[in-house]
Amino acid sequence: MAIVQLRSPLRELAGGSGEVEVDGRTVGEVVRGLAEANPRLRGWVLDESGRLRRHVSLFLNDASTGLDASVSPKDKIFILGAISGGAAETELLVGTRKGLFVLRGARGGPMSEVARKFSGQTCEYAIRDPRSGTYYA
Amino acid sequence: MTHGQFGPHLYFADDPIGDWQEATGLAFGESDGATVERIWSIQPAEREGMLWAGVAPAALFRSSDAGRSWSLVRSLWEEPSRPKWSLGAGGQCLHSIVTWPGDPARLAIGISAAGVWLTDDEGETWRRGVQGLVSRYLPDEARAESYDQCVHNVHRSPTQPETLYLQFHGGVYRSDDAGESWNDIGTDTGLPSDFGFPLVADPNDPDRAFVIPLEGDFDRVTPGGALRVYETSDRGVSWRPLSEGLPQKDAYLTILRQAFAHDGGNPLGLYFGAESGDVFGSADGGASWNVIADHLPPVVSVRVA
Repeated sequence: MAIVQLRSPLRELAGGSGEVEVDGRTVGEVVRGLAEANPRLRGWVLDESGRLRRHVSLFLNDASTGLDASVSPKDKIFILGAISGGAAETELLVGTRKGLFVLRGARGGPMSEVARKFSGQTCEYAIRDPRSGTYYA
Repeated sequence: MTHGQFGPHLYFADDPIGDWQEATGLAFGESDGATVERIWSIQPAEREGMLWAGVAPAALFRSSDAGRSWSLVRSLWEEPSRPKWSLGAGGQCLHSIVTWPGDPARLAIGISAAGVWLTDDEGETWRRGVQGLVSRYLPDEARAESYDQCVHNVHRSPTQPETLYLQFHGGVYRSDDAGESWNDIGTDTGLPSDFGFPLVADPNDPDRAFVIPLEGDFDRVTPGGALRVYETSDRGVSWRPLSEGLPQKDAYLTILRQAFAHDGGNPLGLYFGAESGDVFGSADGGASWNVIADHLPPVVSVRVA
């Protein structure tokens, strides 16, 4: 089984688990299997015609991949929404004297607060490592 | 993150909305006689899984396991000139960590108030890169021998790594030789003030950079009550104001050092936040601006994820 890593909002749609094991010989089979097991995910990663949505990125282990790539047991598949550099939605990390605010919205336009973490603490700096997708604050 | 009573701690997460885990090792040793007071910067290195972090008092930490654990870069901590380093108004801090795209060995760092330091061997040895920086706040006769160079911000142009831009404590500079020496681009070039903290170097155009000037050392608000970002597209020969969509009357805002960021896009997306709790953004390289968010607590840093 491949291990599918999910972030918000996909994680919530999959029942809150950030890591899901799914059978499949290709990335496409795994993604389709994921949606079959979690019906609320239908239409989020693949569109109505079964194609990968334009602003969704797939990674197989460390490398960008497509639906046709072969999958081995214990391979990790990351499903990510493209979030910067001209993508449809931008995510901002705003460090404040009273916590870290995660804002999302259209590039350059008004954004919504999707999370406030470390309430009451000063967040001097927060960054996402684009190579790994890991956040640091 | 700094808790008012329990000090600074560094956290990491795969999902910023989910759970964060605390990293270990971002602390001095018992014999170092220092305590980490604040984490100023975290920067992915040019080596897989490696990151740098700059703190106050001015020190550099390194992680080789994707930020899970950290260790002090002793070569810089034990730099013989350290007793001569000065304190900035906000304490002595290492706030700028400037990597060289594709070359993990080369790094520039900015320290308030101890200048720019350069390494070509991944932090084994260091040398100063301060030629041309003028500490106007010191008497003329004291400048030559002083280590008191109050660097406020440094950024590199990734497509032309020899080009760096620097906001000084009174002065804006450009380096054409990877930080060895600096050229004044803040005097008589169209800026209302050459004092400030925020700085962005356009990642797609080495001739282009942005600053947000403040009135001056003793009045750290936007000049004339108008909020304006200044852009150069000719390496600092001239600057022009960008103000469409930004408040131009009774707007006395303070934008802090790490509160100005870009998204790497083309046209460039730009974002900055103020101590007023307002966050502004532009999707067209600063030609027009929108309020991204308001009524937040005082904004300390802004970065695009």
